[in-house]
Amino acid sequence: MEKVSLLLCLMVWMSAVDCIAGNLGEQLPNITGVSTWSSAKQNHISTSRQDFPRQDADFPKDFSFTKLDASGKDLPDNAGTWSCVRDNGSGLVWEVKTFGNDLHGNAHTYTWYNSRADSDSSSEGTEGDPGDKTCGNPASLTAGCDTEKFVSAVNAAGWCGQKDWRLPTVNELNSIINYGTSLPAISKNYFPDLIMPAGFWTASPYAANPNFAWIVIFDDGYVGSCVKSWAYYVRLVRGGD
Amino acid sequence: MVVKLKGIAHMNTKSMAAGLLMLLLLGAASAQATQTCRSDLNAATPSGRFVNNGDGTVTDAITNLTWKRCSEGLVGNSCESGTVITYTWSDAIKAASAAVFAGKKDWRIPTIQELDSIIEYKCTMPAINAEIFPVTRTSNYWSSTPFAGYPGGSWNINFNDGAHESCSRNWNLYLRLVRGGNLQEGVCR
Repeated sequence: MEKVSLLLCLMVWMSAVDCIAGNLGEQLPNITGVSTWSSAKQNHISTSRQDFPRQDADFPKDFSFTKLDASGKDLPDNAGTWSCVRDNGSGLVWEVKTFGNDLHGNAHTYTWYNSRADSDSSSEGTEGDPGDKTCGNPASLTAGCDTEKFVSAVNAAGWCGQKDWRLPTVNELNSIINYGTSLPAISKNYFPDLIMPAGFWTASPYAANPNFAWIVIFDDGYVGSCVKSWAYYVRLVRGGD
Repeated sequence: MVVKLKGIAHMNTKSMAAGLLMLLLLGAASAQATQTCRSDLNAATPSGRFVNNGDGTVTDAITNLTWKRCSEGLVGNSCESGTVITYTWSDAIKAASAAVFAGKKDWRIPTIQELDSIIEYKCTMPAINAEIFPVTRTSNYWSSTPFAGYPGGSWNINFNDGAHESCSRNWNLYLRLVRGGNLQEGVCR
């Protein structure tokens, strides 16, 4: 039964419609973006190696992204301005940051805070204060610079035509790491908005320490954890449920 | 931890050194620790997701990947026998391509995203479903994914907590083999 649904899901995905794993769970496509090979001492080799067989690049699978405009409509790939990006592999839609000091400004940072963290024994984190300056204090976010307030402000205003934005899980956020590049390790043609060091929060609790949450650093693709009082960037996500 | 992350974020080349330092510290501190799982967190990899093939392998119903249950070097129903082996990345590639197990010859090192798919985020020491993958070391396992920012570096996952780290391919790390999945060699491009 599960194999049938998986096959169906794959067939749907291969016909270029969003594939959500549905009742099978939330596993995302295992795409790394790597298209070059390694020897013992070199990376970025352009041909496969018989002496080092079955590497990442021997199993090619490319990212497929679509740019979306401010109302959430698909744009041609050569569009010069866009507000969101859909990952056609996972079906997730990602916020693209702006270069201004508005709500979506790419230089803004937030502490990790979730007032509903009492559903597990993780700590609520560090709440932002009205005097905070790290998220530009646009009129819609005067309450302070934390992840929960940012999510609320974006959903109050709407973005790409939707109001169900949320903090990504660690699996979701690491699904857009492009391991084929570094500085930054992301597909720059779709996400040109990174400021390095590019540490981003996820919603995922860190099991070993209730005061920590998982992070992704897009300089090179490091996935780790950090104390919730740290100020990191946030890239919101929607869909995929 | 915070200091280490700042270091990694600021200096790409230094991140390699920080990762190695972490490796040393954890290696020394965690010969074999006791697993801790948080009952208040949802399981990322519940046992029901895996079909036990009864031949030392399990198949993940979501990714369709077939995994060896034991780290390389260990054998037995609960991986209770044998001696766990660490490999340089080059030796791991050779060991994988030479492996014949459960009647299959197409074993390989998992990519970083494939290896990530079996992290159990509700557990630490190790961060894995210990019923499916017994006697997993609380340390670093190779991926087949190169580290783009450093010529001799590749990615690994530290199953102490599930962090993704990078180090020189000359380092000796643990290995868990995989085969199959939804990827096919040489297609899609």
